[in-house]
Amino acid sequence: MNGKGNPEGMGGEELAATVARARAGDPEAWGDLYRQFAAPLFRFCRRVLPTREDAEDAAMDVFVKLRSKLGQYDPQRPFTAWLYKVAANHCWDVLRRRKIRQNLETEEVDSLPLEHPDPGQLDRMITQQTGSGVRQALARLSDRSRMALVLRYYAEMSYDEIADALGLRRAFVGVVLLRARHELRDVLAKPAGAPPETAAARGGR
Amino acid sequence: MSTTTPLGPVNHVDEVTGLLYIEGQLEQAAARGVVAHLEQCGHCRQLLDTLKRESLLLSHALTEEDEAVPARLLALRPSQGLSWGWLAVFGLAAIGVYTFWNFYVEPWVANLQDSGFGGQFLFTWLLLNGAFWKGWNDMLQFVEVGSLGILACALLFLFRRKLRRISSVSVFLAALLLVALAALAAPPAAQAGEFVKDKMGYEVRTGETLHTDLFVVSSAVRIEGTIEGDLFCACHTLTIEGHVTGDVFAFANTVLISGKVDGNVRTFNETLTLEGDVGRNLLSFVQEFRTIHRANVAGSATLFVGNMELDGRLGRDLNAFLGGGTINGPIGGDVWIRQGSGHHSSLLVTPGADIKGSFRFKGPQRPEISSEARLASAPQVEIVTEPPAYVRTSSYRYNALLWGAAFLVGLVLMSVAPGFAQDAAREVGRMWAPLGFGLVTFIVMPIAAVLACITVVGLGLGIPAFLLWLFLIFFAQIFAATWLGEAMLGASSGTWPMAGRLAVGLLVLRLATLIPYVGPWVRFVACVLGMGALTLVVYRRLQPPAAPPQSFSAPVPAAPAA
Repeated sequence: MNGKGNPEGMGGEELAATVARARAGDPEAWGDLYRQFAAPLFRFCRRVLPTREDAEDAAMDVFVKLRSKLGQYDPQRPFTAWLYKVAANHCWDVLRRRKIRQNLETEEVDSLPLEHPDPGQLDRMITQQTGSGVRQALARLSDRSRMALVLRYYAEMSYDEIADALGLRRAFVGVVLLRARHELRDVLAKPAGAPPETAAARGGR
Repeated sequence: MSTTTPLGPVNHVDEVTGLLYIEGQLEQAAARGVVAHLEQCGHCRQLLDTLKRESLLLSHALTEEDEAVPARLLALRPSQGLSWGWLAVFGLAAIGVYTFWNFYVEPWVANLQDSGFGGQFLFTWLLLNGAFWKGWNDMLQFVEVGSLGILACALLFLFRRKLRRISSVSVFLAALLLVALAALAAPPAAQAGEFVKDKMGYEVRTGETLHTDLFVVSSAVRIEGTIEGDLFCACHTLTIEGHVTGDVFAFANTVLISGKVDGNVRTFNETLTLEGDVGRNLLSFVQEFRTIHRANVAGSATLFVGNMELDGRLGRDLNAFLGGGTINGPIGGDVWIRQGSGHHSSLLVTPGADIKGSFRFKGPQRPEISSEARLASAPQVEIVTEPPAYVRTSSYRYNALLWGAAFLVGLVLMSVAPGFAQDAAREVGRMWAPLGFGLVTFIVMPIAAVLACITVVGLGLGIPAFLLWLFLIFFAQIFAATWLGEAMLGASSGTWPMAGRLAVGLLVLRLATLIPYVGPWVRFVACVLGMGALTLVVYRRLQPPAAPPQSFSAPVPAAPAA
């Protein structure tokens, strides 16, 4: 995996060596890791959490957690995947504490029908969108959908890693991602003031 | 989904399968099926192309740098939170402080209160309520207000998230505001006294009256006249033949009081001779203390004294840590004496003694109490024969407290300045260089501090330098112990491995200091080595760096995934 946090100028071997030194307790190595991942991790939190302040606080907290858990990290696994998994869990907890996390059971995911899109219509809609518009729409998605999209298209995590981070069976990851896309398309197709049509709402139809 | 073609119905690739296919998640057999279908189905090719474009759009939208990373985040290297280890350390430290207070300080405070020193806090009584400076109470108030301000800021910081985004700037401004308010609330500056510095000697002649506090630094000070205020004196010889209406606070080699002091007398000196009157209490850290028959102390006397000859009258209690001496005069209150261990002469209570209160003695040598001496009650004498330090439980308890204190300070140091602590510990290992530098620092620094104190202006430098020297003695053992721990357990990096080595090193050092004869030398060598290492590291850090430090730059995220 080539995560967004994997720094320029720090190759895989160098990163592995830095992580190893940080695990051995070298504060300088930890400082290097911090400098390297502070910005990408903040952006990750920013994409998942509702406000900039929440993201800032979460990024700080995630680094404190990372440092205390560094001993538990398995060097055989990609460091960035582990880092974003810790971040995802933390953000997930933040959302849950705020009682704004919407649960979507895997069984529900499995059972809900997905409407087959018209390729031409979908293509026209994608052509009209900008990055800014998509980001605004993302903020209106359910937490799980937003988290899934961020893990896949920001952190570039594999399906196995996403399954691990979200506590899903691997077979459901594709469905969750596709459902998130549908949710996003619905939001993009509607004006900003209209409530998003969540998967749960659709399931109740 | 299926559509009907001239050749019959065609099963299209469903969207989930299409997504899995473009993301490389399909198994080989299924992927081959999709490829075969795509070759003949334009509808599905268009769908998969659209899904790919959607993926690109998502990657671009999510990775685009639309807003700056907060400066606070880029500037900080967050430390580890308050871990259980720290909580345990602070808990142990709190228990240590509680034990120390309960078993050592409080009994003494109770004794002092029994002796008529009032119900004030010990340190207030010792320092803040006397001759040293009339502004101490104002200063104390200022410190209290300031402390409250700092506490308030700390609470604001802790609960900043609850208060929704109180930034560090607003906390800082709040702190400034509180400190400014505290400064405004503080009373005006204390009355200034007269400062005198004269190498040759200073004298207030007979008939001469000073209507102010007097601060004097000189070789010999002689007061024949009157000082209507307090006298603060740092000198070789102080002679008071006249009258001081306030308190006397003296750092001197020899003090002779044959005149009258209306207030308290507090001295730190070699010899104190009292031939006149003291209106209130006497506190003295002194080697030789003597009062003649006509001398009179109206209040109590608290003495830390090598040898004591008490012929004069004492109005209230006598509290003394002493080596030996004689009591040959009237004492209006209780007598409480603790004799130190070591080879001292015994305490004599002669026929001239007239003790109105109780007589309590604790020490290694039984006091010789004359049958003609008048005691209000039967003397309470407890003979304590001190065993060697290494078999005394109290010695281990004391050492455990010192170990805990040093460990706590070491932990704080390692967290605040890990690089510095590590460098200093490694410097100890070079042996000869730190030993040499350490000896020089150990000897020269206090001498320089004392010399600086000769001048009034130098006091401001000399006293902090002396305090710094005392701190260095304490810190030195931390570096020596860390090195010792590393020598035993191997080199370390990082705070916690280093803290473990510090703990082991301190333990070994503490145990070594309990060994008879060898112990004091171990302590001395550790102190000198640590002090030398500290000096060397500070010296090196003050040198200009050979190359400019690497500048910080924010990491640049990778480009959006294709």
